Amino acid sequence: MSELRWNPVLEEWVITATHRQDRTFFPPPEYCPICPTKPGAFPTEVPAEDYDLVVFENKFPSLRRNSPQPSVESTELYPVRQAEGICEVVLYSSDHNTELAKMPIEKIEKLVWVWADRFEELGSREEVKYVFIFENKGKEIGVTLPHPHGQIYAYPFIPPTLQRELRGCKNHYDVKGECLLCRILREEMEDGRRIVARNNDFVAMVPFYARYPYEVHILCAEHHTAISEFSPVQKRALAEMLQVVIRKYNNLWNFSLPYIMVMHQKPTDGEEYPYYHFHIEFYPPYRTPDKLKFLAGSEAGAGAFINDTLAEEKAQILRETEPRQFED
Amino acid sequence: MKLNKKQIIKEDGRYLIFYEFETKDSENSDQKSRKSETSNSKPAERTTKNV
Ligand SMILES: [Zn+2]
Ligand SMILES: [Zn+2]
Ligand SMILES: [Zn+2]
Repeated sequence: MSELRWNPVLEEWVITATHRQDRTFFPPPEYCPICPTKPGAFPTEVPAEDYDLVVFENKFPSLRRNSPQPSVESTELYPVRQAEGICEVVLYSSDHNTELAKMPIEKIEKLVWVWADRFEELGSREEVKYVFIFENKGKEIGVTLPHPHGQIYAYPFIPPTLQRELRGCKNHYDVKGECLLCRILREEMEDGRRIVARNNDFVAMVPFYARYPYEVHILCAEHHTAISEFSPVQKRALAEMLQVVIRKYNNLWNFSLPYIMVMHQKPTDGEEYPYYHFHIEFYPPYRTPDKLKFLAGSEAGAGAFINDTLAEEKAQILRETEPRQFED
Repeated sequence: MKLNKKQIIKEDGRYLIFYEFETKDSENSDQKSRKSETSNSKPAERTTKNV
């Protein structure tokens, strides 16, 4: 069962997804549901002995095509909608024991092409207003399957965080006549203190207003609003920048650093968003090699983040960390 | 790079897509991509510099 319930206080949708209680939690590796199906072994989600990259509809989706009628009726106070949309799983590799940082650049490049294809295909569907591409990595983030994969949610509405970003960018555009993130990029490049890495087409930096100690944002150097606008050269450059950032993360403390990675790009509701600028955000949950940052009272209850570190210091550490993959 | 998709429908109606890729020099792309799976990726380190 899943449905959208309107919160009139915060003016946002909450997705209920009660069937997700039955999800598989850390199966033994021989029963990984997203490994290839080996001859004579139990059938997994992927009916093939090997694969390069695979995308499939999540078995336990929060949003689905032909979603069921809500379990309660809509009222004036509490509007309820069907949880229409699509939840996809993106399998990065048939190798259970790898991760993006260990993959050759060509593989990450292919993943960027797949993301662009999914953005276009899902975004072209009438009911889909926002295509959200993300990856949860590590059990600290609540990942239930260690096999390398990401996810895509195709929402029937523009999610609240994106709405806020769009509003901020539009306000700046209306007043100053320029893209806010283009301006931020220009000033950050001139300043340099918060830059982590750069190539011809992408810049990685710890934002001035970082909420997490090791938060990193990757911005395209040229103004683009979505991944589907990138040339083959830019797609390659994005793959290279992703590899650099993730390898730096892993080299920080010589363990595979968990993170939430999210892609922020224009909505797919048919409107124009010339003032929005493609970027990827990483939120690693670690403050130190053995301390996690928890979202507590101020963050969870007031929305006011407290970062007990300075972006300039963390950027310097990440800048000086080699982007080499460590051996494990 | 050119991307090819092969879609199948599962018994419960969900779709699954296999992505396959053709690189430009298709002659030895197979050999090349196999090789690159094992080599570590120098190109990124060469073109992406720390500032
Ligand atoms: Zn697996
Ligand atoms: Zn811009
Ligand atoms: Zn953002």
